[in-house]
Amino acid sequence: MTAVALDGVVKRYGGVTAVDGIDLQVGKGEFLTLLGPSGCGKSTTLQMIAGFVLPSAGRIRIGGRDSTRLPPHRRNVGMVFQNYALFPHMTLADNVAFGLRMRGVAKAERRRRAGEALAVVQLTGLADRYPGQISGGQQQRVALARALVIQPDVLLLDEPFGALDKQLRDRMRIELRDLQRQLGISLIFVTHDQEEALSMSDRIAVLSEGRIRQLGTPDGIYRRPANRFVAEFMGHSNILPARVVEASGDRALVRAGGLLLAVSGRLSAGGDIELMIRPERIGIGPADAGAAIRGRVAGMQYLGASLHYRVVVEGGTELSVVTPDPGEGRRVPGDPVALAIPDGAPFVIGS
Amino acid sequence: MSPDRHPRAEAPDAAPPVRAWARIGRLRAWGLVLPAGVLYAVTFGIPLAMLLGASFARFQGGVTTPGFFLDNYVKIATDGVTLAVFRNTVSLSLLITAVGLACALPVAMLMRRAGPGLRLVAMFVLVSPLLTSIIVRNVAWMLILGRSGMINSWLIDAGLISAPLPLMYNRLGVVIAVVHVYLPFAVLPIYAALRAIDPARERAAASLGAAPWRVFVHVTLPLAAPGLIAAFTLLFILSMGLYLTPVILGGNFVVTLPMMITDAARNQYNWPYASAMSVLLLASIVAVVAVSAVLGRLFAVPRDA
Repeated sequence: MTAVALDGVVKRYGGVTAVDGIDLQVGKGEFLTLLGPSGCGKSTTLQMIAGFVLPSAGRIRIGGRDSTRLPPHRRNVGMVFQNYALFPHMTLADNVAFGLRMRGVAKAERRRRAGEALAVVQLTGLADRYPGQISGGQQQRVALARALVIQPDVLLLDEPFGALDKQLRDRMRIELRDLQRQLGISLIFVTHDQEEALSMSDRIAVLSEGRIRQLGTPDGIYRRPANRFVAEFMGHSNILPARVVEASGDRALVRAGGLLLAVSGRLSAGGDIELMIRPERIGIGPADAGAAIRGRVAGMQYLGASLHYRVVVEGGTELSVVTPDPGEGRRVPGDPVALAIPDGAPFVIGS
Repeated sequence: MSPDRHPRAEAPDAAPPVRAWARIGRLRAWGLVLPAGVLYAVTFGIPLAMLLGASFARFQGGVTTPGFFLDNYVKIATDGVTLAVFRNTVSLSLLITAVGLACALPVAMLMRRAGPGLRLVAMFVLVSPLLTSIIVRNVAWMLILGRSGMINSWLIDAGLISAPLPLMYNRLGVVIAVVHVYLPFAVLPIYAALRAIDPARERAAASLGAAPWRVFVHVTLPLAAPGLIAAFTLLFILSMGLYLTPVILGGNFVVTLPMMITDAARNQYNWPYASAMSVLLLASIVAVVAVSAVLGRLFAVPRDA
């Protein structure tokens, strides 16, 4: 059962194409994230689902109903905005009850359900406060309660944690995910933060230039990017041009700079490919004569929990390596080191 | 942080020297308003005191006797004419204010949505009457609204009416001409208030199921209330002081309190009575300002209790 279905949705502004043919189905109870850099069309797509922007072409179905041309107030969609967009002249209870009031729910019933919704987001007791009197994190929760109380077919969130500090953002991530699972809500989340997308989503759609570049589970997208854009956008990566030296079945031997690596995938000998190795998959240790890959530390960045090395290996290729901080025995620039790239770490982009 | 620049930033553990500095800072801040304060005292405070004093003088047989008499106020309350004119002035002002607000709100909403070019044009069109001489403007309205004026001759030529409509020498003419020139005073505060509204709030309301008119009633209008109150106050105060436009476009059919005051002072040389009527006018304006201040507080968005 699908909650939302986009079918060839396009949005053009004059000569500029903001969204260039998006096909997407969000299942009931699914947490789907639209991820991409600014200007990739993710917000425009969300605005079209909410009804604030009319698509230039394509169809949008919400809750089984063709909603392509329906005005926002006729769609049963809950939306949480980046700056919360609470009504500053209403109490929190009235904010939350607004959608019920528009639906003609009687006053006592409104009050009761708004109270329940505020309890769900742990704001019991603040019902009579005004938005200007509570913190940003609390405002965020009110916005969530306000959108949830109408029992929408789908909940849309547009960079909702952008204005919060990091600690609060991390906590809201967990809370939102728990709440979504617990209530079984279908949810579309828009963000440019890949960590946010990876930590919460059932599926992620990576967008750039108005198109979906890859659609898949967080694990699939992180470990098996379909193209260079996705590989680079989803966190740090070493991307190396390589040539296939030898191929047999679905195994192959490739040469990238001075490195000779075994990869999986049906490749043909002599072909040019792009290889991705995540920095945290590479091991780093003291240089010894027997090591397969030897190099020299070119730079080190201290990140608290982890260390980020730049290592130049024989042949001049520079690799990023991330390891947990051992506390003792950190390498410093100039140190000779040995690298270990385990089987399965190098991934042929697009395979 | 230099304490003299933040006179209110008094930490509970502030040492005495810091407090002393804060006091000096406060004095210095008062010093800054001193020139304006002196100017106001001389040009506003003193004449106002003189006006108040003159309103208690006695005027009998063309002779003014200074003192503390209540004659003028008794006359206002009992002669029947003055209070009637006062009521007429208030009701005319309320009418102008209501029509002005009704015209200004759509214009302000349009300007909010318009692009920068159209907004500039709208601003110029709005302000242009203020750049025209009041006499020229009123005479132009006579040419448009008169018995054989532009509108009536068009309507008669088009066969829509057979006799000219009474468009001036009545309240209608005065209201049209006054709203025309006072419109910017209503549009600008409303526009400023509308611009300050985050459109995401209106979108949020729409996504929660509010049809456009309900978004307007429940979100846009309450959030624009400070601008509407300011526009109301400005229009009302300006209208209470109308003199020339009612004289020209109202004929002798629209009489305002300022017209009576002018008559008393210039034709009858009855300065005490003119003063008393001025005090009445002033008091009514102060009352409206006070009411709108209370309303403003009522509609203020609560913050940080």
